[in-house]
Amino acid sequence: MSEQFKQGVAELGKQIDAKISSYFSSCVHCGLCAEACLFYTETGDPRYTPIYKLEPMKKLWRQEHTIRGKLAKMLGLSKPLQEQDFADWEELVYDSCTLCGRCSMVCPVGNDITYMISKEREGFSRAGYAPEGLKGATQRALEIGSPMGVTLKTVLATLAHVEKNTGLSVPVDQQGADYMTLFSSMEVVNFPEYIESIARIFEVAGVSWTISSKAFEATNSGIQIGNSDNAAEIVGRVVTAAEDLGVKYVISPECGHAYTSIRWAGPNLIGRPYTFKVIHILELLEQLKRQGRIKFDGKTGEPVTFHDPCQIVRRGGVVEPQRDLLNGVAENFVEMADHGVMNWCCGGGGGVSANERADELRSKAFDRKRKQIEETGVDTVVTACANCRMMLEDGIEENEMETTVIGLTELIADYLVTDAKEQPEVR
Amino acid sequence: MPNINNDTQLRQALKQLDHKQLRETGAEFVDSVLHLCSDNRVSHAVDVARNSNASDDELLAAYKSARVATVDSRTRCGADCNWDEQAAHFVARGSAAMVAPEGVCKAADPPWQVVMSCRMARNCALIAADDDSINDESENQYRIMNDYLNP
Amino acid sequence: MIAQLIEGPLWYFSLTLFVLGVLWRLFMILHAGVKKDLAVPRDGGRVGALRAIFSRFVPERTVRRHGRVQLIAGYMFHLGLFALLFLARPHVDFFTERITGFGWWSMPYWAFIVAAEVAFAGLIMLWLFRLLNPVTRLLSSADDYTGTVLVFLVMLSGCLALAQSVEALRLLHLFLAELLLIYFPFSNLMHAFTFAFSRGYTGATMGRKGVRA
Repeated sequence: MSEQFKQGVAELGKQIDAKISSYFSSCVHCGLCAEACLFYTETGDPRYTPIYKLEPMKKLWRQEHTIRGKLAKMLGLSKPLQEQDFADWEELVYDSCTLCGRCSMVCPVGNDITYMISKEREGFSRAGYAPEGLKGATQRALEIGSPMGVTLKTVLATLAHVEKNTGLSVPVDQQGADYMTLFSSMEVVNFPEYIESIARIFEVAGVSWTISSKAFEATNSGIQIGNSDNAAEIVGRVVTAAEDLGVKYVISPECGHAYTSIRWAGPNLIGRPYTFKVIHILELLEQLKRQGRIKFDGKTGEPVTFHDPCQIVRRGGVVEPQRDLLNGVAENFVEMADHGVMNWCCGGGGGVSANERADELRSKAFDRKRKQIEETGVDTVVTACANCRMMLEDGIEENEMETTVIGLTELIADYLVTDAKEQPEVR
Repeated sequence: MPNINNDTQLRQALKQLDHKQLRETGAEFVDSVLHLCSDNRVSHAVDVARNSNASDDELLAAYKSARVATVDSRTRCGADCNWDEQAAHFVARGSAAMVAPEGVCKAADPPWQVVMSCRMARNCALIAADDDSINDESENQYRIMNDYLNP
Repeated sequence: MIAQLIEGPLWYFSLTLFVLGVLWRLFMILHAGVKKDLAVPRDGGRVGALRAIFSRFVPERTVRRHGRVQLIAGYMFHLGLFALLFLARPHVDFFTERITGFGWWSMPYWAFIVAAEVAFAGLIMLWLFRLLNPVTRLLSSADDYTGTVLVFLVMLSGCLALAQSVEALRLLHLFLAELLLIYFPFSNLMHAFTFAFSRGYTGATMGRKGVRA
């Protein structure tokens, strides 16, 4: 048993709080959580039952927090956790869980299984049992400031491109701006049109905004891999930058885990409340629309549906703004049957998309989303998370579907009234 | 036809073109950055787009193939980004939008997707080369459109 | 002598162990503590907690179809057992005499029979489901089966005792109930108490985010 493994087990033990203890005490192994998990529903493999992914943590809990377990351990009737336990469970903990939270919504005894898996990852990552892709991403995030190796130079180059296209300037390190926005590396690398869109929207709405040269990255690999120290370091940079600039708000972009990291986990990671507020870009856009600071020029006549990013909606609480916005630019918005807080995951969250080993499983799990899209009878899916977008496009291509995916912020920007004299148009 | 020298004019000019003309101009836009991508599926899409006798089936096949090329070439989440490969990805993305069948996803505005993807391809190439030059692909596109409209 | 043991010391021992054991388990849960959430809430946590304690009694819509066996059988068993335990005349008399000092309404005999049959049917369905369904078969431990068997035997002995009016059967029923009380704090039968905590914690977390748990 290596020293690193022992540290991992110690960390796992530290994660067992009253919630975890209550959850394990309450679980009656009814198996209902399996029916909410796309990894189970699309493979039929009972090992992907959410609560089953927690067996190593349960073993430790039993030995340290229950009378029977402590007695069994004392009498040598139960073995301590072994490296093999972690080795055997690593794929269940990381490859077959996107931390989507559906299981937490259906458990009859109210267990937040997603919370439990996040905590279990703290032990696994400390013990060295985490996917290589995630380890690399976290390392880059800590050393370079971005999991995808995006440096300040490349961000500035992308901003220069945006400025040239829009004729607008993107403020950097603007002291006292109202809003400091973050980007996910995925947006900078794969969907820079998101940056252009917000530049145009903010210009029209007269939003006082800036980015920080010290902390532009929204994604938090520390959260995904399950390492609170790394997560705290990453979110701490954003907090320091925001407080140095004296902004009132930090805008979380179209990235699911970025939102849960900065909005919900962040203050607990750094051990204190922020001096600023956090707002998701969708919340801000909806607010601007409500205030009349942005108006739309017509609507698309094409039927569209919406994929709800799990971390923004179910785990984040941003449920209605996107619907209000989409109804503002689409004549025919068709909801998926399971929508809002009960929509199904794209299959790529929780670090799964960064984990090459999980590609085949993720592919199978996508079947759930494929069926959802096909049931709507609609060929255009709108979403608000760069990672979801990638996963949807991957799955659509693999399944030879006719569907196109669009980002919501870009769609809003496309229909933005920039001149009062422009006439409404339907495309 | 007055000279195009900004995006508003470019957008308006694109709106005046029919589907076949959009394909032809799209092919020119993509061709200007094609050297950044070595994927045969992408160069094939350009050839099909330029072929005025291309059948609907050929166009559809090229579209599907270019879409797969787009997804195949993208940097995965959390991976160390290679900006040369990203440049190729955006060329592929532009090529797919270029041969998108008429009426497919009008909400995503395929003609403008071609324009933007080609610019992003150039941007990625500059980043890869650590070149601080200004990305002048937009000027190149205005010139291409002017030449097309005023042959 | 055995009868005296069952009616006397063993009853007191099992009841005391049950009460202290349950309290100890709950204490151990609460003692592990929960860190204060420093994020600015969107909505109230307490309201979310209370809401979830009751709302989770209604199965979530998307699992109702695939989970209908567990849900129907689960409710049959739990509601039937609740009725038997707290509203059956012999139990009401027992509680009045030994625990509370006061009684309450008890259901008529025909209702007792219905409740018993519903509870038995539910328990057997759940047991079979646990054995036959690949998910529950994988998840289930000796604890799950032991608890099931004990509850079944307690219910069976109780029904036989009432039907036959034989003292030995009544004593057997009491003895099995005492075994169940002793087993209870060491098993996942504790869910009978801890479910409220679990639902409350989750409801509070989700409530603060503005999500109805």
